Formats: sequence, C-alpha cells, structure tokens
Amino acid sequence: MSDSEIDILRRRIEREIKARKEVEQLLERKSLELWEANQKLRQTNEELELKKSNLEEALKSIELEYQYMVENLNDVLYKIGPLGTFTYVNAVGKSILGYDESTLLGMHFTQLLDVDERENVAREYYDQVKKQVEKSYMQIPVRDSQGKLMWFGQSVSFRYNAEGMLVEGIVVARDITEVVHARKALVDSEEKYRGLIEGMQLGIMEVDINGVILKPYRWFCDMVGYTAEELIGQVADDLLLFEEDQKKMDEQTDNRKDGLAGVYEIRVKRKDGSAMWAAISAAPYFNPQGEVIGTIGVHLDITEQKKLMMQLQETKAEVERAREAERTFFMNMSHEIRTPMNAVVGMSHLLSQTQLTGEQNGFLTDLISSSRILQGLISNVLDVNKIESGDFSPIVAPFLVSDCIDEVLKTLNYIAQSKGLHLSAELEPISKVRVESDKRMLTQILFNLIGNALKFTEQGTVTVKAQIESGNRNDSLLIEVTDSGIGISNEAQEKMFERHYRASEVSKTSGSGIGLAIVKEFVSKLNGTLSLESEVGKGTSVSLVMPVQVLKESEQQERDKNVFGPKITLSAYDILLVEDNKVNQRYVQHLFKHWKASLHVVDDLTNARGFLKDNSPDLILLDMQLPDGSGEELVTEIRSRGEDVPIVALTASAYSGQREKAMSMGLNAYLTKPFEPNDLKEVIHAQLRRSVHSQALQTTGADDDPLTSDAEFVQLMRTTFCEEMPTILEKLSLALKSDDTKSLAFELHKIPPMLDLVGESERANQVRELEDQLSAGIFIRGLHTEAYGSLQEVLTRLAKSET
Amino acid sequence: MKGVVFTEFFEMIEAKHGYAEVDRLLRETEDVSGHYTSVGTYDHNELVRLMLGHAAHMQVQLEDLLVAFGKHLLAHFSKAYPDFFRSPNVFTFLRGINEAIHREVLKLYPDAQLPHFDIEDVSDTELKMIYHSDRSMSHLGLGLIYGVISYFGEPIDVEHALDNESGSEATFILRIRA
Repeated sequence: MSDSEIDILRRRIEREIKARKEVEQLLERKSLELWEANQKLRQTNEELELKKSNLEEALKSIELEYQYMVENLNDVLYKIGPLGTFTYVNAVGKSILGYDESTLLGMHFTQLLDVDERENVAREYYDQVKKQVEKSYMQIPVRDSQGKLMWFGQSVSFRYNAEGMLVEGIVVARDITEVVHARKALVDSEEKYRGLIEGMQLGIMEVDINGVILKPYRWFCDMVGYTAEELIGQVADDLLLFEEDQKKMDEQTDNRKDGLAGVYEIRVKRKDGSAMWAAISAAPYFNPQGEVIGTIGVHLDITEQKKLMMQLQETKAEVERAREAERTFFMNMSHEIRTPMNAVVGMSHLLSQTQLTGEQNGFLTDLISSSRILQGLISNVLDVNKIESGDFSPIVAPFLVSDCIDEVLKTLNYIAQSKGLHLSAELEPISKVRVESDKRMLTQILFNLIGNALKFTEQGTVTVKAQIESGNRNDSLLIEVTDSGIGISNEAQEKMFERHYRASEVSKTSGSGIGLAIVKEFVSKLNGTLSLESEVGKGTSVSLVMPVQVLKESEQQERDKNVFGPKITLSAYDILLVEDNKVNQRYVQHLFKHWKASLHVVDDLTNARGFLKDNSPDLILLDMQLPDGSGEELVTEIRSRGEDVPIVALTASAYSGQREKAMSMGLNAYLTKPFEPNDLKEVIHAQLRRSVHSQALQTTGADDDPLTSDAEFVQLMRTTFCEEMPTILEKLSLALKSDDTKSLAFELHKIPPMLDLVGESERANQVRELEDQLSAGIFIRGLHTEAYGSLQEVLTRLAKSET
Repeated sequence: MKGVVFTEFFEMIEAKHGYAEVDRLLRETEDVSGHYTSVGTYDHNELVRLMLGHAAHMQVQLEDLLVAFGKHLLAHFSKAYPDFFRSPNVFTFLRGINEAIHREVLKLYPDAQLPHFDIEDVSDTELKMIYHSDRSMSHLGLGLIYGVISYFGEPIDVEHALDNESGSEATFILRIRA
C-alpha cells in the first residue's frame, strides 16, 4: 500500500470517526429527546389510565343500573343469538315462562311458540332478518313450561354485522294475554248484541252531527224500504221526514246537540212514500273530548199502536160528547121537572087551605110527602151535575144538628109509614148542639142514607143515632143509620158508591142510583168518612163521621135560657145595616136594641156610600139585592180602597155559585134569610173577634136587658109586617096587571123573610117557589093571583089581631 | 439537506471511481464539513459545491450527474424502504408521491425541504407531472423517475422540459409505449 493510499485510508478513518462521533452526539441528543418524550407519554398514559378507570367505573355502575332495570322490568326481556337460540332472559321472562335459566339458554325461540302458529311466526322473523329489518313488533302465542297459552306483544331490535349477518336480536315482550282475551270477549259480546239487536226488530241508525246517515242497520233498512247503500251519505231528515214534522224534529236535534237523550214519536217517510209511525229513542254519542259527534236512534214501528190509539181517542171523545150531552139533558130535564113540581107543591099547599074532608086531607098529606121526595130526587140530579161541573163547595154556617135530622125524617116518614117500617131517631146526645158546617150537604147526605135504608128494608126498623165526639183539636159529628134490611154483599160494598150502581137483586126497587155517589162526594167535601157494616139478610149500619166546629157550651147554655140573651156587649161597636126591606130593618134593629148596640141603617147603596164617606163602622151587614144595584158593588168598592172592615152578606139567595163569587170578592160571611137572632149574633161575634178591634169585645151579661118575651118580639114583627105589606101588595098588584115579571120578582123576593118572621113559613115557601118559577122563566098567572090572595088574607088576619 | 443524500452521493462516486475521488472531493472542495452521516442534516450548498467539483473533475455535465445520481438514489430507496414500492405500476406510484411518500418523509424529518409535483392523468397511457422546487434540481427528479421506471420494468418514455430559466419549475410527461 502506498503512502498516498495510507493517507487516504487514514483520512477516511478520521472522517468515519468524526461521523461516528457526530452520530453518537446525535444519538445522545435524540435519546434525551426520546426520554423526554417518553416521560411525557408516560404522564399522558397515566392520565389516560385514570380516565379509563373512571370511565370503567362509570360504565360498570351504568351496567349495574341497566341490569337492575332489565331484571326488574315488568316486561320480558331476552336476547336471541344468530341461530335463534336464547342467549339471555331476564328474571321476569324466566318466571313468566316457568323455565330456569340453564334450560332456557340454548332453547330455540320457536320451541316456546304455540304449535299452530310456530311456522308462521318463525317464517315472519326469518323474512325480517333476510330483509335486514331493524325493528319489528308482533303479537305471538306462547306456551309456558306447563303448556299454558299466553300472548306476547314483542318488540325485536335486530343487530347485524358489517357483512349483514344477524348478530343478535334484543327482544322486549309483554304478556298481553288479558288484553287479547278482553278484546276477544269484546268482539264476542259485540257479536252477541248485534245478533240480539238484529233479532229485536228495532231499527237502529247512526247519524253524524249534521244528520248525515253513517250506518243504517238491517232492520231499519227493512222498515223504511231503502237499502243501506241508498241511505248512507243522505241527510236523514231530508230523506225520511215529512215536511210538516221538521219543526218537531228540530227540537229533538237541538236537545241532542246539548247532549240530551230523548224518546219521541214521529212519522217516518218510507221509500214508497207511505208513513210509518216510529217511537224513536235517540241518544247522542261523544268523541273522547266529550263533544257530541252524532246520534244513535232506535226506531220502533208503532204504526199499529198509533192507529189503535187514535181510534181510542176518537172513541173517548165520542164518550165525552155523549156524557156532556147526558149532563146537559139531566140539567135541563131537572129544571123542567122542578118547575111543574113547584106548581104541584104550591097547589097542594093552596089546596090544604081549602075545606077538605078527612079522606081528602089524607090524600093531600100523601101528595105533599111524595112531592117532597120527588123534589129531593131532583135536587140530587142537580147536585150531581154541579159536582161534575166543579162549582160546588161547602158553605159553612151554624145550625142545629137536630133540626137537620128532623127535617129529613119529616120528609121520609111518609115512606116509612107506607111500608109499615118503624123510623126513629135517638137525638138526645145532640139535642140543642149547634155546629158549624154545611147544613144543606149534611141534609142531602142524610136524605140519601136514610132514604136508602128505607128502600132496602121490607120490615123492621130504621134507626138514626147521632152524637158528638170531642177530640183534642176537633170535634166530630157521628151519625149512624141502622136498618134491618136485606144487607149488602162484600162485592157490592166495594161498588156501591159508584154512580148508578144499585143492588141488582132488588130489581123491584126503583131509584136513580145517584144517591150514594152524591153522599160520597159530599162526605169527602166535608172531610168526613163513611164506614159500613152489613150482613146479607140481617141489615146494614152506615156510619158517618165528619169534623165539625161545636159552638161553646156556655153560649149554648145561655141560648137555652133565652134565645135573645147572649152575654155580649156590642155597645163598643158601630155597625151598619144596608137593607131596603123594612121588616128586616125592624128585625135587626130590634135585636140590636136588645143587645144594646148601636146600629145605623141605610136603604140603598147610595146612602151606604154617603155614610161610609164620613164613618168607619166596625162591621157591615149587607143585603145583596138593593134597589139601586147589587151589594157586590159595594164590597168591591170597599175592598179596592184597602179597607178590611168585616162585611156579612144577608141574602135570600141560596145558590152557592153566587155565594162563592161574592166570597171571593171579599165578603167575610153569609147569612141566609130568614136567620135566627143567634145566627146573626154568632156571625157578628165571630167577625168582630177576627177584626182588629177584637180586644174591645167584652161579654158581660150584667147589663143585658132581655126582651120580656118571645111574644113581644112576635108582636113587633107583626106590626112591622102590617105596616110594610100593603105597599108591597100594591106593587105586586100593579106588576101583575101589567105582566111586569121583573118588578113582580123584585117584590116577591122581599116577602118570604117577612112571612118567616111572622110564623107563616108555609106561605113563605109558597112565595119562594113562585120566585124560583120566575127565575126559570115561568109565569103562571093563576098561582100568582092565588098567592096574592093568600097574602092579603094573611095581612087581614094579622091586622085584625093587631087591633 | 439530509445526510443520506451526501452519503449516497459518496457511495455512488466510490462505486464508480474509488474512494480516492471521494477523498479528493472532500479535500479540494471548499467550505464543506468533510464528514457526513446519513442521519445528519447539512447545508444544501455543500452538496451543490461537491457535485460541481466532481462534474468538473470528471468533465461531465452537472445535469447528467444529477440524472445519474437520481437513478442511484432511487435504487437505494427501493432497497431501504421497500414498503413504499408496493404500488402495482409506475403511474400509481408516482400519483402517490406527494401524499404517500413525501408525507412519510416529513414525519421522520420535519425540516426536510421536498419538491412538490402537480400530477395530471392526461390519458390511460400518459401522465403529466409539473415540478416545483427552489432547489432547481429537476434533473435529479428525472433520474429518480428513470429509476422508478426501471424498478417497475415498464416501457415508458419520459419527456422533460424546464419551464423557466431558473429551473424551479419543470414538466415531465410520461408515456407508456404502445
């Protein structure tokens, strides 16, 4: 090797050494850098480790939570591997399915399916996986370990890998067995009811809120003759309603919109145009918000019933008309009969005034009795009609019970005698008992009860017993009518108070058959009761119990001593009498003088008005028929001024309709002429007691100045009669001559009270009958001439005795 | 400039002319460090001076030296970094030069200054590459391209043209022979 080569090599080695050192320095530097980087990395790594462990901790707790949730879920949760075997089942799933974990894991999901559905369900899921469906929901039938069938509603989430292969299926399933059963039950029940409804022949139709037909059921279609297709979409009212019924339907529709159900009847127009009467039960139905969205109507064909009902209504109207006609007939006929009856009675009385043989007198007595009975019967007929027309109510006034019974017995005694029956009354317990009630009604009741007892008794006795039963608050009048007649069967007892019902076995007895119906009506009007005890063949006992107001015993005792001696001082009161009849004026004046009370008397309305302008009486006694107008006018005037002074009407008119009218105008009480002194005293007493001045009412008695005798009073009345009568007779004569029936009636009206006061009751009745005739439009001159004659005769007789 | 370029330059000279030429260059060229390691980094101008000195001494064109060096360098790369050479053909390899190769180089040597290529597929058989680099060493690039063609053994012609005077931009057109 040459020196140059050695130099080159030496230089090369030097260069290599330098390079190596450079590299070593570089390496050292790089190593340091590496170490530093490593340190940083380690630090970073530690931080990462910490973070990781934190995350792992968090993950673990989340996993625990999930596991807890999954295990405690009410739903079944399981996982299925790619081959369809269970890889996980939660606790609920195990308990519901009834398998333990080791059995389940490894089972294929199809093993749990109901055999019938196994293939279908499996195929469906395979299809889903094939199409890589991600989520699905199905209801599947499942058998548990005991073979019990359950229904699962299950949601499956499928997970696939990158190659599209199924990794797993996560399934949440819920036991919906009950829901499925309930739904099936619902469907079954719907089927059942649909069948039921179809079978019931009820036409059902559903319409929406606008009345458009949504669903017509089969029977409805049959009813109206349309097919379902023809009906659906049509407006029900337009298609099925007659125009004139639209308004009625609109009312119903409005109700439905308010949510109200209803049942109504309406005509439905069939396809052929004919009408079907339907009873419709319509009910609104609601959406879940509670708003009305339509109506369900159930239609029942009532055409036949409707026809029948219309016929019935027509028949009923005919019956009503017939009854009305019958009533009118009775009313008219009774009036027609009463008028000649009055003539018969009147003539009989006239006849009795003539010279008769003993035999003739006997005949006449029979005649009078018979005509009285006939009058009673006619009254019955008239009363029934009044009851039916509703214008009948009790008029309460004081009277003696014994008087009432006596009158009835007097009238009916003729029948008893003619049949050879013993008619008697035990009136001792009520002798002189004065009660407040409706005397006319009680008379009519007794007339019928006793009349019936006589009618159905062939031999033996008819006994009337009367007594007062004192109760805590009210007193009762008890009257018992006992006979020894044929008796009444139980069946008949039930029917006997119906109108026109009569004991059929007694066909030989005659009668209108309305008597007991009237009795029943009157007893109920008087708040009384009737009871009946009877035995066929042995007799009957009818008991009447009715509440009455018995007047005080002290007053009664006083009255027993002296009818004119009430222990009452009316001196503290101003009382006005408005009365044109002089006899009545005298009568009342006399009574007041006796009571030491002041009485102001005026003749007519004009004078009454004048007096009332300057005075305020405590009570007014008012005649209702005055020369210058009706007493009603004055009552109206006084009441319209707001004055509540008691007003007592004095009237001859007994017609209750007029009374009620007057009472409703503001009258406080009524007295029918002729009234007895005590009647007047009691009414005044009662009215003053009610009025605001009642505290001034005093009963002393010490300063009473009783009349010396009845005779004195009678004498006074006679004198008055003799003074007044000539004028009246003169006017009567004039009226008769000029056929002025109006004046005649006016004058006649004054006479009966005057006759009553002088003890000429028979003639008073005679005049009243003439009055009745005139008011019925009947004027028999002969009777009036006769009456005129007999009045003159009375006047002459009384005038003679005056002197 | 990366040390590997210097060491490979000397490897090439030693292989062709013996270490004496390397020794001469290192002794006679001014301002060079005189000793290099492949992992070091040295001034680019040192390489230029060494190349000019060698070319002058050998009486060859610098461009030809650069092309030859490019071929040598590519052969070295293909042996040292076979992973970069898995592409199926020349065009695929070259298309990935910016992203696949230079990016990896930069990871290891963040201070390396690498040329940039705009690459355009003209047709299935023609690829156009435009060189950008302040080093103005497109002939080194040409040598490298030849090396690649040779490595893949494909029949491809290369046209090379400078696009400006400085040579900082140049165009290569590669055509696959029919």
